[in-house]
Amino acid sequence: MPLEERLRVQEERRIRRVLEDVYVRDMYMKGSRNALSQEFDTAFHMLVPELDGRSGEPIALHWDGLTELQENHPKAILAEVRFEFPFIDVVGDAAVGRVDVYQENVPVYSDYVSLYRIGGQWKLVSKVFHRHGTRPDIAQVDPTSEKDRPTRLRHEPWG
Amino acid sequence: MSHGVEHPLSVSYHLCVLGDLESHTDEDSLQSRLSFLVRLSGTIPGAGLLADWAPRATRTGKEREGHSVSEREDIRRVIERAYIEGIHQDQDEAKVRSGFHPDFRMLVRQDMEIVEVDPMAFVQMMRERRETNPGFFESALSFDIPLIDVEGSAAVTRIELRRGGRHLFTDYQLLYKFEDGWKIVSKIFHAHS
Repeated sequence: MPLEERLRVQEERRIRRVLEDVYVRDMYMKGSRNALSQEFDTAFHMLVPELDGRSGEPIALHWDGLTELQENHPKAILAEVRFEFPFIDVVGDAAVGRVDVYQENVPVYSDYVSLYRIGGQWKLVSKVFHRHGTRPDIAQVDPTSEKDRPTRLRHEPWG
Repeated sequence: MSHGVEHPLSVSYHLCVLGDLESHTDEDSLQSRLSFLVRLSGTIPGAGLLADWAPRATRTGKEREGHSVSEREDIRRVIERAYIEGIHQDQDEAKVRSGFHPDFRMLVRQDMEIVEVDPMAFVQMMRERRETNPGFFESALSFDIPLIDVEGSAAVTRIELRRGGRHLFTDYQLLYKFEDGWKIVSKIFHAHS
């Protein structure tokens, strides 16, 4: 295998570890925005499309409600959640990855995450997402619907 | 299929400070794995041919179906008009506004920090670059869009920029589909030289 290919594969593996071990845990598993991993750059923002103040942002954003959910509806939290990583694309010090989130084998979110290599470490710097289907329990907007097409963009800092 | 363009313009970023530069261009191991990706090129009038460029994106998961060709075409047109023409060719604010969301930010690495650049600052940066180095803008620019991946109302693209046959930048741009169409909302990049 040529050296360039080996280096690229090596970087893809490093990025995959960040997405699998850090991004998924911090974005979807943690019950708090605090104590973020260092792989999240301080500049990281989740970009949230909005329509009249409503959005289809990931459930993990609703921290206040999450505690109540964990206490009163544990099955909702313990339900099977599966993550897939369809592709990672890296060129030099920049990269993007896609993360698909399934709940009970139903697609819930597709995330596109961008990363920079800073000081030799891959850092998560930006994210957009698509929420699948219409699940009123986790979101209020169906961005695939013409009537619900977002009009605004909110930069949601993380941490 | 690889058509291309040559523009009497150039691209350069004052704020681009990158560390070790690597060009990972494995050009043959990926073709077979990229049937889901769109490989597009610019079609701006007066264009010449772009030197053939092979995508090197890698997909490690399952191939998905259902990406709309029309959506990808819409995205390609947005990038061509707002980014290639608006930013790099004409520094035209109207063209930029047509495809960049007002809250767009280009994330630029500066040493260990990230600096955010909004659309109009991006335009101004390119204008200043043209004023200080007009000769640079005389060289022809070509571009290629080897990756467009769409899921619902979100998308990611990779754009390769060359000038005078020299590979300058790889861009990754994130987009959302808003009420008035696809808009570029975020960009990172790698400078090749």
